Amino acid sequence: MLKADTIQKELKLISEAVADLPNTTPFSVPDHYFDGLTSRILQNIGQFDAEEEKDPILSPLLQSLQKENPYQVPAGYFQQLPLELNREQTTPVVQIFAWKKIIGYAAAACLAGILFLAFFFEKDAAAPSLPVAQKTDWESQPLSTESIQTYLMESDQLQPVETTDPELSSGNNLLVDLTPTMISEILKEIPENDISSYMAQTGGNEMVSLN
Amino acid sequence: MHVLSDHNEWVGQFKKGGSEKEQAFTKIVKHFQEKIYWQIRRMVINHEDADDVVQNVFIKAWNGLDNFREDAKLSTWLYRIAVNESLSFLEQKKKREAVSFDDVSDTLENKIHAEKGFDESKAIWKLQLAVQQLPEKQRIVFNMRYFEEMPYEEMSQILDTSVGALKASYHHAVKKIEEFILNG
Repeated sequence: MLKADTIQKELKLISEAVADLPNTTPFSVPDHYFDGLTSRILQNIGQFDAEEEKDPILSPLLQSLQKENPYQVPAGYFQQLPLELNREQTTPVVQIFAWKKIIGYAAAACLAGILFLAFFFEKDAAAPSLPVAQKTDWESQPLSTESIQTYLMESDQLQPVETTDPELSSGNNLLVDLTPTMISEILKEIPENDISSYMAQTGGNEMVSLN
Repeated sequence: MHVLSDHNEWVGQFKKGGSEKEQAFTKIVKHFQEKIYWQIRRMVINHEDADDVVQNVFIKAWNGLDNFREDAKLSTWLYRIAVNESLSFLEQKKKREAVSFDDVSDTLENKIHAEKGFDESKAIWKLQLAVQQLPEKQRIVFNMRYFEEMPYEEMSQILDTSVGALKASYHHAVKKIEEFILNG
């Protein structure tokens, strides 16, 4: 009873009200229940073992029924089934992963292009060049006398362009042979105001040269 | 110590097999049946339910005793099976009640009300009603300590819980019961 005393003391420390309650169970058990319990348990275990050993028949009714399938299949279904399966196999297979390859190649090409451009511009920037202002203003720079003389000498050395036109190739037809009659006719077509203003500007010498 | 050596002897006989196996098991069942029954009965309340669970416990013991290691106590091992079977029985019952909405009256409290000789004015019955208000784990701890006067060390082995946690659980359970008795 030492154990019970310890438990009772512990209980009193927690709650005196509960410690004062009886610690018996009020539930009732059928008469002689425990007398037959052992044999019933062993009987159940014996049955359990026997059922484990032999193949158990859960339902003799189901056992007696025929195991035929009541469902029906369309005529010739199983003959056509292999053909259907073969047809499915011949359908073209679209490779989903081909896009991945294309994307990979495109990315590699872009990268190579970027690297090439970067290398090109870096090289160009490193090379000595004229300032931008000088490049744009070259037309306004006056040409030196030496460069003009060199150009004229070189142009004299150039061969004349051959042409198939006989008049142009003779060179004599460049001057127009004008008679006094033709000149007077031409002058008739020009208004007198224009002639007098021209004469005033040139002092009448040009008329001689025209002839 | 004499009892413990008896337990080991029964287990040894059982493991030998043959005719000795059933004799040894008969001794084990006769020795433990009442303690196991009452432990289960306090959990499931109803006698028929308790009887089913007791049968299951001893069938499991029969199947597992060959693998029982004698470094543990036979009583501890059997109590552990009984606790697990009781909890799984209550769990299945809860699931069935959740599915069947008509079976709401089949609670543990109603089962106590339906017990033979039930009288709510008597403290012994009021205590049972109070115990049913506890969570399952606290109920097991309270029953083992209060009714079966089990040491915390043995409870610790059965429930696989530390002694400190069991003491705390018992303390909470007693306080809840006190509140129910005084104010309920």
